[in-house]
Amino acid sequence: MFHVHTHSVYSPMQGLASLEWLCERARSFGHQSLALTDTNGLYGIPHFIQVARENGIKPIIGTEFICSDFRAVILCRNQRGFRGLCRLLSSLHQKSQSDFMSLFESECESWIVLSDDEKFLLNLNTFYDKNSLYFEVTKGITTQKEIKWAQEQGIKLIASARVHMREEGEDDLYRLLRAIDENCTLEEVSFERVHSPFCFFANDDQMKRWFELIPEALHHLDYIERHCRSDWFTGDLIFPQFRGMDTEEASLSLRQKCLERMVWRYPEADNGMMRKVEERLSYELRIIEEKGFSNYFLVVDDFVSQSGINCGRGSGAASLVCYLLGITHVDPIKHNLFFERFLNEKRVDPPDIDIDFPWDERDDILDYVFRKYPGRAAMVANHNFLRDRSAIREVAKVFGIKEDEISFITNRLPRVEVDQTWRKILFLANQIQGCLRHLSVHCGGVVVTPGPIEEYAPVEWATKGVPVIQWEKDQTELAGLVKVDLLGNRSLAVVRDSLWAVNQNYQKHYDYRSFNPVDDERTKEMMIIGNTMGVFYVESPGTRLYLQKQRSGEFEHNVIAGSVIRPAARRFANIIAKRIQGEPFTHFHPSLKDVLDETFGVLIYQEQVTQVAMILADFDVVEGNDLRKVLGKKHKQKKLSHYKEKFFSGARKKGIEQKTIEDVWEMILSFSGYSFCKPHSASYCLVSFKAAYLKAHYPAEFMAAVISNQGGFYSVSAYLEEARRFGIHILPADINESEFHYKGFKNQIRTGLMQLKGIKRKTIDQLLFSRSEFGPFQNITDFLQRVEMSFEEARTFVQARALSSIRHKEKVLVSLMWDVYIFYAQKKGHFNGVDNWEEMMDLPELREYEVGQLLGWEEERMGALVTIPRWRLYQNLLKRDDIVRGVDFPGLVGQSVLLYGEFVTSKATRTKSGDTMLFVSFSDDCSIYETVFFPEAYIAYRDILFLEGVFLIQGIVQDDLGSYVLQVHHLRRLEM
Amino acid sequence: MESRVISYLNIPAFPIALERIQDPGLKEREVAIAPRSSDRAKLWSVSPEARKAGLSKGMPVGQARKILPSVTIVEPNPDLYKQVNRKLETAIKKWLPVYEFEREGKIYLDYTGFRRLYGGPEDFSLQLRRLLKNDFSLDCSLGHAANKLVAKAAAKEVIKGVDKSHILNIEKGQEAPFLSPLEADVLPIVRILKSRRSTRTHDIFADLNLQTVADLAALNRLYLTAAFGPFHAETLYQMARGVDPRPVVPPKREPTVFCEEHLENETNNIFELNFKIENLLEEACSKLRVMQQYAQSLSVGVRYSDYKYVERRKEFDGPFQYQHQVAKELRKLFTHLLNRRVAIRYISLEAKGLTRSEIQLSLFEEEDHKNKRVLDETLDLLDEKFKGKILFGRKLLA
Repeated sequence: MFHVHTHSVYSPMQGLASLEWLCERARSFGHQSLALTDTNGLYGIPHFIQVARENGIKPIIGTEFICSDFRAVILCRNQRGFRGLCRLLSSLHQKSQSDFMSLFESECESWIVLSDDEKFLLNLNTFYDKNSLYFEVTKGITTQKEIKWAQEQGIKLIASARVHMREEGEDDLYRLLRAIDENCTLEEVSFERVHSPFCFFANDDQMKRWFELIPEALHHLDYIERHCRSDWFTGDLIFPQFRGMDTEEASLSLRQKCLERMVWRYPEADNGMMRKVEERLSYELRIIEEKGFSNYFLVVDDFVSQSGINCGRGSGAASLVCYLLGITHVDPIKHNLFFERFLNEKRVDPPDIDIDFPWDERDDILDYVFRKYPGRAAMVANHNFLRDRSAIREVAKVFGIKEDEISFITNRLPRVEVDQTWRKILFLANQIQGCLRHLSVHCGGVVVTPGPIEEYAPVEWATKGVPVIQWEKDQTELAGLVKVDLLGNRSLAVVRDSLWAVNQNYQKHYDYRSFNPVDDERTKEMMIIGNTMGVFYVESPGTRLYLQKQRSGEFEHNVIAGSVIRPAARRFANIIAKRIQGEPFTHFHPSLKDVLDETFGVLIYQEQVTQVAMILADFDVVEGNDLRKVLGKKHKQKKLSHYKEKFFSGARKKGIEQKTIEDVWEMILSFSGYSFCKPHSASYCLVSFKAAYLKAHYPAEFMAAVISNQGGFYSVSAYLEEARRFGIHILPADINESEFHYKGFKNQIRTGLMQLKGIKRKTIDQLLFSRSEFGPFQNITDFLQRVEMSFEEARTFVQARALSSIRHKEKVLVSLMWDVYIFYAQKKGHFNGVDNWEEMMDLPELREYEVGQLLGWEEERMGALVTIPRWRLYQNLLKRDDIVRGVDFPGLVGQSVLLYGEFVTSKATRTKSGDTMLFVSFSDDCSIYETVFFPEAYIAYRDILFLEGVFLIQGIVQDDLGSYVLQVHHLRRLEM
Repeated sequence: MESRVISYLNIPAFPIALERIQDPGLKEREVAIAPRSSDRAKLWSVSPEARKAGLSKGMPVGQARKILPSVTIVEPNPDLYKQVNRKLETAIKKWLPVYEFEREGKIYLDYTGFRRLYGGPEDFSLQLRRLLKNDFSLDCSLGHAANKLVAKAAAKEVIKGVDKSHILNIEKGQEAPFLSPLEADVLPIVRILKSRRSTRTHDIFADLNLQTVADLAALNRLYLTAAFGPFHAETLYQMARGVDPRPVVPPKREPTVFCEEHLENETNNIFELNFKIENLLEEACSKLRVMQQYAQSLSVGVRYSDYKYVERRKEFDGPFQYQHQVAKELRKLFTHLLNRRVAIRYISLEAKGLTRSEIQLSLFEEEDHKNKRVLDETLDLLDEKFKGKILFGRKLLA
């Protein structure tokens, strides 16, 4: 016996049981099989197959198909049935006017269909054989009359519990789930007939008791169990096809391309180097060909060729093939990148190449993919489950709790006392956690298949108009689909725009792909002092502080810097910084020298775990990689014990001392959590060097590009401040001077019209066009007549003071605003019927706006103070002799100092005792500096800390390996 | 003929004044009234002490707490404010027949023609202040002028001054010079324009740097038209010069039957709420029968636990007096009204359009209607006889 109709948490808001629970329960009941039939989808099928296998259960794939006309449970007999099911579900979700019945007809030999819809069954009865069509009988739902009808029609009965709940008595919980889904109260839930109190995972005795009058309904389960395929997703990978090439043609083409591009990548290599390159290339190509991955590389190469700027990241950057194809830009031979982390002979899971494109080109690349592979490409999904706060929020809403109260409680949990209603809400929320709420689109994962994608996975359409498969990235991989991550990266756009501006302004010829400034001294100097605000990968306060400690501008050391501040290796940051500065160290074992020398004896990169295990305990590459993967996961203890045993025995066999083995294992264990592999870090580090070079040599162009591309770590005003510290003048936006983006040249940055909030792109385009065609605007009327815009937009131009170039010096700004009002009043016809109204317009003496008003508008209309730094508003207050600057810290270590600063950014963390403390960056006119608020100071000042304005700060300067932090004791917000 | 004399009586921070009577511990402290559950809730009213510290009406609670951590936030009690306001009205009515409640604690009084009875406006004001002090323990300020605009401005202005009498009289002809230095907000038309956020008129004053009444008075009609449109330009032109022809309009009240219930336990259970509304309908219909009145429409109001209040009204084809005549429609109306999942804290039902008789009597009364009518009337008799001591129908279930 087995359950033929089972819903899991992957039935959107229609199932309470997790896949693990279902499979374990099926096993404990002695069932051999389990059919997963989630509603209108195969959302959890790859995961189900994996869990079922782990539990020794035969997985049967199916769905409960519900459309406006009928309801049926479909089970797949074979691969053809699976493809048909994917097609059926895709057409349902794409809301195309498909003829579902014709699909049912065409799949009559590959599906088994269960339903209790009489009309539907009668339709199907004509072309389905007796063993493929069943009348679904469920306790508490099916009536005797219906059973009799089925028997008269000769349709076989099948026993089904329609499992929506886990245990008996969970109907209230299920009702709650439905209330959340239907956005109603518990009493308003439409309790459809499919949801009887008996829809739970019944045991065999219960099923026998329920169906004792129709035992044949249970016997028919055996037939289904025997005739439905259960060996799904056996590890075959599904690769895209490039221009219809077969594997052999693709391999030849790939080899050819790599050889052609060797000269481009290694133009000045000597014979020795070329030999190395050839050896590595033939090794990589051999593995790629053996695995049949050539088509995949060609497809990725095709994507990359659509943009001049990209950054291949992740483990793929360790591949010479990727480097030659231009997918990545770090030389894996020069920087000793471990190819086996990416691909090896024994690797069974698909290769994963992640590529960053400039953020504003990413959608074009995706469009290209969908155009080039129509019907064969789709995005990967994200599954959004009910989790912690979202579950609490939803349950509370069903209970009628007001929004404010929900936020109040959820923001304070678990440190808040709650009443009985809330205790119930929290209990119930805990019970429904993990239920699938809805799909969203993965930020960049794309799958391309050799045939129509709807035959490989059910496809839905996201609201933004892209096809999305029903699986998230892990299940996509489990299903054998190979994905490519095409991600948007703002910093690539920053580098692109800066290079373009520099080439334009100074007639230079920088080319992104060949531009490699890792040996530039000014760039190195900038890295050493951590003056990297705006520089990709190393601009966060934490990284900048670390750079100051490390005091090295070498590329390899900065590759380390990018990795060492990630959670897995963070605790070693100070150790590494000291060793980079020359502190002596020894390896746990001499054999580790080759692997750990470059990271000064400490595990920094993911692949080093693999390499250490291979060297010390004779792990093969696959085992080493698995150990690395386990370390990064939660609930790893069980799996880790297996690897520990293997590691210890392997190392002992090599005659390594017990103490050394224990020490190394301890080091491996400490490397848990989020971390980077070296190829990834090196790839990003190269981009950061390019950015740092541009900042060091062309700060105006670079900072203009940083602000224009938005979305960096800091706010616009913080970046403007940084630009000012480089001696750059910030010029306000002006209708006769500004472009759309910020424009940098020499020691000036002209604010872009993009900064004006509420001005449509169309208006700006029209303005720029009119200016280029007919010359500068002469006066306000000329401007308003030549550029069609709304009244609101015209006001914004005045408020943002973007009309400076057309304003007569003796006229106050208010008069320009009056001109705007009069222009639009006339346009509306308010003066119709008034003769000579223009002569009557004699303005009284006008009072100019107050400075506060103008600055308020500037902030409102431009999102930041652009024309002056905020601290200048407090200049009189700051003329005190006892005020120091952040740059003075090195000479003031241990002293109590007073300084001022504008809040830049903050990062909260917890002390060992669980109290909150805060790291805050402030800026003054000379630098950006870091402070720390220990719990006492944090509690005292948290209410004012995040307010806008300038603060007077008192604290003690501390030195941490050459990076300086102010421990704050007192804080006061300055009044203007 | 005696010229118009309008008085404006202003009880500053009326809700807070009442809360302070309830809890004398709040006196002279920084107090604000707002729902306490959320940082985003808005302040309903702030005490003068809190205003001095930077708080203002309409400010979010979270922001207020940041500015003034010592502020005491008191949960609003709208029913108390209404109740006291009603009492105030009863007291005022005894003195002057023409009065207009601008809102709770703010009243216009038309004093024209009462000089002989009560003496000059200042004398009258003193008596009124004494009454409020003695009977209500409330303090107030009063302004007198020839129109509502200037009277109100005077009453508001008097609070800012040091004059302990809290009374200010603006003589006829002095309106424009009095208003001139005041903020433009003193003109009601300006406040109305600023409150219309959708039309963005709020921003015009800042755009054109129009801060005082004098700034407005300096503009001719064409400029005002360019800024505010022809519709408002004339009103602004007049008001900026102290001209306000608006009369004091006494409240118009049509007789209604009003029933309400404050739910002890807030709920969103539709069964429970249906039960409550039917209960209220039973009560309203019973009152109608006692009054021998028929109603033509029903108005249902609910206040959610987040204080949002919604109301719907239904006109019926004919007058009614029995619940079975309208129960079905009312349930539909009520279900339609409850379009949020948030729990309800208050329900009200008001029967309006009262008339003495049915417009068209049915020649042959339907049997079903007759039975129900007889039953209701019998129950009314029982209720009257036992003065509520006997429970039946829904009351019994409750």
